[in-house]
Amino acid sequence: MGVASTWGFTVVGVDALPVHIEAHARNGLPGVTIVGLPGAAVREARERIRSAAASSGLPLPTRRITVNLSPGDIPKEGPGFDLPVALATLAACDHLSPAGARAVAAVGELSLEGNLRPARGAVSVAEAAGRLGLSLLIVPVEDLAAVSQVADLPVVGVRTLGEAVLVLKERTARERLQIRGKRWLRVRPKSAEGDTTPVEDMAQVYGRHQAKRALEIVAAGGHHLLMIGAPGVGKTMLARRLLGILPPLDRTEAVEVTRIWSATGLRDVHAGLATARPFRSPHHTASRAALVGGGVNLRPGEMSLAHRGVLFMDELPEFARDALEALRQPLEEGRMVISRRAGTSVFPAEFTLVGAMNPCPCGYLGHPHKECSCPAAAVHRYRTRVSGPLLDRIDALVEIPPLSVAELEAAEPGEASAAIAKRVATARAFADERKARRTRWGRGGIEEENGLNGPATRLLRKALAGHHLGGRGYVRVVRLARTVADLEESFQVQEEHLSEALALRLDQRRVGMR
Amino acid sequence: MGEQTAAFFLAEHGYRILARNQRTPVGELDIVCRSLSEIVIVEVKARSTSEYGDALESVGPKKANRLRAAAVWWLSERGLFPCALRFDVVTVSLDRNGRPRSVHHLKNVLES
Repeated sequence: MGVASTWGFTVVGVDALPVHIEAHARNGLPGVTIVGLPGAAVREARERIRSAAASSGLPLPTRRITVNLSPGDIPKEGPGFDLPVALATLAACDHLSPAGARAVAAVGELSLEGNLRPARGAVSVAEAAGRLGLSLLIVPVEDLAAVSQVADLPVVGVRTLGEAVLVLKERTARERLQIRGKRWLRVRPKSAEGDTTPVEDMAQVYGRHQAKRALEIVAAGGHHLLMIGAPGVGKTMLARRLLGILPPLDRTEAVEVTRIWSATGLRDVHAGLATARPFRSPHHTASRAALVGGGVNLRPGEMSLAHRGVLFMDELPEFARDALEALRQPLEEGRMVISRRAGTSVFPAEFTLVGAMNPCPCGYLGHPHKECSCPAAAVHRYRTRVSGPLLDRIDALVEIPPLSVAELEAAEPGEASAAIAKRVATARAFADERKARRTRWGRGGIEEENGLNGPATRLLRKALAGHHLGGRGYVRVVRLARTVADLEESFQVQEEHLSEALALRLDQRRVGMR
Repeated sequence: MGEQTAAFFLAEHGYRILARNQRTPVGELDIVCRSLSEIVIVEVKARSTSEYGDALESVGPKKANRLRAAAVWWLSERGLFPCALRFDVVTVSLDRNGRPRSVHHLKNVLES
């Protein structure tokens, strides 16, 4: 009888906060009390633990048991506390030695039978446990797939509460279970549902060379794109195929994506690290909170779920105004800082935004054969729903004309996604190499830094004088031109690179968006 | 009658009876006994019907609180509290003549 402690974690946003769990068993009126701002799910852990312990042959004694979760001022959420609280309690009740449980972290939800179920946020938990310098992390065996990839401390996957206790009691049991975990990793169900959506090929899209070129540039430089076109010209079709030309996730990116998805609880835990870039296309009725994230315990929203992938916003002007304006910070910084009652959290949101919209409410403004039936005021109202500051942050804009009969009949298949992806990958590799070299030269102005040559600079000056390019517009055009040059593996940004970038950027005015 | 049976039953099963029918200002205790290092407070329920399930149900939240309070009062008065403590219910079913037919011992019924 006495005091024992372990470590658990509460997931706030996408981060796991370490929580020190202490249990004290003493004489008095029998019962279990949990203090330290437990949420509803944590308070219910009491009943689950009592039943699970009894089912595992380790009944709780008739003692007054107090469990304390510190720090005491942070609300603790989630059923992941079941296992660490159970272990601390059992250690306090002499079912295992308190010393064995001290430097151990655990996460998992208990069933009444004593079986363990995976909880949300296993990847963040593994990282946080590593930072704390603990000696062991106990997770449900299903979580091993992702956790074993990121943890830099020993991890044991267990199936039941009884096994978890055994791990802490006997070194041999721990080694045995570690071996079993490795075996399980080999035979686990590998592909999760929804993970294997076939990526459509760019070759299926006929014509649309301008749009394809824009997508290629966007993919190579991670820029944002807005497509404008009449209904049925293939905006959605093109956007869906952007995934196929993006390079595969590298390891750090895969960990970031998996961390967010596991914190949301949307990802199938068996699948391990993410392999495909996410593609999110929220419906235009999505609220600001759905896009940004938030809620009582700070869950990531669509923008974070699209991290390192594509956020496709079809019918862009139909989104609520406040939802659209919330895009501003992530578009600029690639992350969002959200403050709610549960605390402040930084949500990563480095996505490629692809917007799609019609030129006017009826959709046929500027159509070669169809008449637009919208009054001028309606067109204006429709377009002003996408505000200037937002538009300013979108680097490229393409107008997609309707397909002519001749083009349809020619029906020559386009270039395959694989070929474009190869060029994109080369351009990205070239850009990385270029950046590595540049740092040695020290910092110059933005033009020198990006290697604009003489004619390009002159053209840029002319464009600056002629158009109303703001400071941000200027930087974004230079960056866009830089990507175009990267695609041709040119250290210098030449005139034609810049003019292509200017064309993509200044289409805004040509199409009549401001 | 029921209480006598329960006390015999407990004594036979290794419980040391410390006191019976204790009154405190906050409630009554039927049997106070000791098992190893644990004090056991026993609530005796005598029933003439055949169902003993409802005997346990008759220890509702109100009765439970009274039992807890009374136990703490009684033990504190003797300087025994806090100690390892358990609350049990012993149900004695009686036949038509009021003679005991069967005894059931339910352990640790009050946990919160």
